[in-house]
Amino acid sequence: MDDDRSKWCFHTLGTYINHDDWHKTPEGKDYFASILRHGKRRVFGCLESPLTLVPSHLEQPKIMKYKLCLVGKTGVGKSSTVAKLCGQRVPTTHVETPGIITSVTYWPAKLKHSGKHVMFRLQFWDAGHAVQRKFDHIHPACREKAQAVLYFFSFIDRSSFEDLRTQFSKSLSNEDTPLLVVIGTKYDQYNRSEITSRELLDFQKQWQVPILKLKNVLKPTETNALLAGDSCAEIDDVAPVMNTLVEYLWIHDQVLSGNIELSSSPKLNTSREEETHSASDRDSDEDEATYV
Amino acid sequence: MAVHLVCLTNEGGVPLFTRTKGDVKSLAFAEQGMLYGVQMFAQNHGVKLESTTTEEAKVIWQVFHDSVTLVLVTSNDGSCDIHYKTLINHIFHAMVMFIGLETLVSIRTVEKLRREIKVCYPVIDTLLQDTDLYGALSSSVDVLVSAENTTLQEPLEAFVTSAESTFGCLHADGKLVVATSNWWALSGQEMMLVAKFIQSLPIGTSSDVPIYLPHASPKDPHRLLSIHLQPGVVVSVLCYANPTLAEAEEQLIEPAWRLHHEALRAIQRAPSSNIPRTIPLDAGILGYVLLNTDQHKCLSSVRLPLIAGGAAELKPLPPYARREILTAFYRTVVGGLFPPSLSPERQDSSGEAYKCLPHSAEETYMCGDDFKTYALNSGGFQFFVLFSSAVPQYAMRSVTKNLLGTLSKEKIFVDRRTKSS
Ligand SMILES: Nc1nc2c(ncn2[C@@H]2O[C@H](COP(=O)(O)OP(=O)(O)O)[C@@H](O)[C@H]2O)c(=O)[nH]1
Ligand SMILES: [Mg+2]
Repeated sequence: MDDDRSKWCFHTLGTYINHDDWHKTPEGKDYFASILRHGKRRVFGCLESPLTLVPSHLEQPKIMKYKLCLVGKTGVGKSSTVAKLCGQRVPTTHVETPGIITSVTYWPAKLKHSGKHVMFRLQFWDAGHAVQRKFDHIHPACREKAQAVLYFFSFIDRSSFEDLRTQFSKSLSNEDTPLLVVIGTKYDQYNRSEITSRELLDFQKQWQVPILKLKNVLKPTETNALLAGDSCAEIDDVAPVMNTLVEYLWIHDQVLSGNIELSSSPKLNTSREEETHSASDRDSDEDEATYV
Repeated sequence: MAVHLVCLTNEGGVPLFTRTKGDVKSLAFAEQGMLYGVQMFAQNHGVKLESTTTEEAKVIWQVFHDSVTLVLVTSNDGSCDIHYKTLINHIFHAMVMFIGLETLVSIRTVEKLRREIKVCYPVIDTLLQDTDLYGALSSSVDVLVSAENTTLQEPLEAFVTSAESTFGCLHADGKLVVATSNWWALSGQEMMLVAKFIQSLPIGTSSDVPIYLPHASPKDPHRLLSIHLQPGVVVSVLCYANPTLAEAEEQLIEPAWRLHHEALRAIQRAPSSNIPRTIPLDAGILGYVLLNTDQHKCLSSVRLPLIAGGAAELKPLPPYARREILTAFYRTVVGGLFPPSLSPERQDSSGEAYKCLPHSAEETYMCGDDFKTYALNSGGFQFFVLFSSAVPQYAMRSVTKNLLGTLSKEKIFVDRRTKSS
């Protein structure tokens, strides 16, 4: 593991990209309208793009394309996370992914320093575990030219977290330097968590990677409320995670192209932790209780 | 109507998986063992147990390649066994499609197989569900009729060629719109299973999935690349090592499809009748299934719009009721009067009632309290039409014949298969 890789990770979130409910401002709303249809996320085919839908009187955003490769044990919630971040209904039962499935989602944002608008295009590369074992070409295809690797563990599956440790301690290839992000799923079940906050902090310190905590599955009533009608509740729900993800991707790009200096000493920003949660759980989960 | 499916190893009866349809618990371990035991007992005595009927249910057994036993428990609708066997046959071949024949024929470790077999669930579950599509019932592929059937041929060929393949097709909402001649030459079951799989993919995605064609290539996997061009409109190509999914998406899609946005949008907006708007429809028709038995193409709809002032409007039947009636009618007529349209590989169609008829039946009809149905078997087509009960009996024959005459001339029914030498 090269040491330089992740030092920039802990830039204070919100330094480069507007978080604070930018999507609710009149300006943000205009841009977000291009990825929505009747208040729900619009699905784009391979031949389509939201750019044609951005009103012509607005500054046309630049498209920033990223490939993100998903890694983690079967059943940790990779496919569910993709569905969640793409604004689709999360399946309640596990469906084994039969090969590689890639999903695209667009996310508009405003860069703080230049005031310019960008349209992030994230393509998630998700592959089933059984099929990866059986066929050699699957994993390399997902990893090839990926700008980010998302490592998954589930809060209610200790072994998925142990797997992560093994993965990280194996030397990572130096040819490309993707952004590394750890995603902990099933955080809605944190009272059954098999991983302590201490362990997470230690992991974060050791490997200098951001850890996002996700709740993909809500109670049926909550899910219905999120996806119902023309409210943009679904956008509100994923905005903190999406903004975090795109900011990390953007910073990573800038560091690689030399536009941002690496800060000499990595700074752990404590407020960052909180920003990675869904807005709804701010109050409940910051206690340092030792689970297990 | 609840359905239970149990899959076990034929040697030893180790359960591999179970699926159910409807709000029911899956069968208890002991019940699964019992179902297996009865069949094994018969096998050991040189008897092949195929099916049994209880007061309410029908149980069908089938052993594939002496390796995998499938048991289907479903309610008995009084139709010929052929339809249950068709379903069980589709289920086995869906398993072959995802994990290959060899893995199923020589089972090494049950644990590993159980893990691998999970990828088949979405397609198997769709096969068990009720659907508006009739392809599975008729072992054929559901097709979409549109003026674009011909205009989209050229971009498809260009795309498939650029991907170094000769097997490719375009689906819209689970129905085949255009395909290469090699694709059309696949069996009806293969085209249908791939269509079901493509329909099960999350909308807007691109995918690269290893597929074994159950009859054309049951032991050698190919990569099936499926790319959503627009939501619900998916182009697929079958290839070996090249191109990668990223290459196909980034380099091959644009050149082939760029100029065809409008045509693609038109098939997205295809009418729910699945009949071109230019063809006049009798106001009494509520739904239909049209089958080309030789080419294994199935054109159907149970969502014909009610025409204001038309006969059907007086007693409207909702789509689910239309589907149930047409399905029941199909299951009664096919096997009973008309020959089933099976893939040539099937060898289990013995003893069907239609074979005992002194002549081959060409037409039949049925009248219920709130519907009428008419069926024709003529010139390589089987045509099943659901009418409103307001339509007089004497009119059904000529309306059905006329519509068949028109529809059978649609471009989608031009035989594009490569002739095998
Ligand atoms: N409670 C809860 N369940 C989740 C969450 N994420 C995923 N799941 C469930 O975990 C199971 C496996 O998820 P899936 O996304 O298919 O896992 P994958 O194999 O990594 O793609 C499914 O039944 C999901 O409903 C979550 O955040 N909370
Ligand atoms: Mg998955």
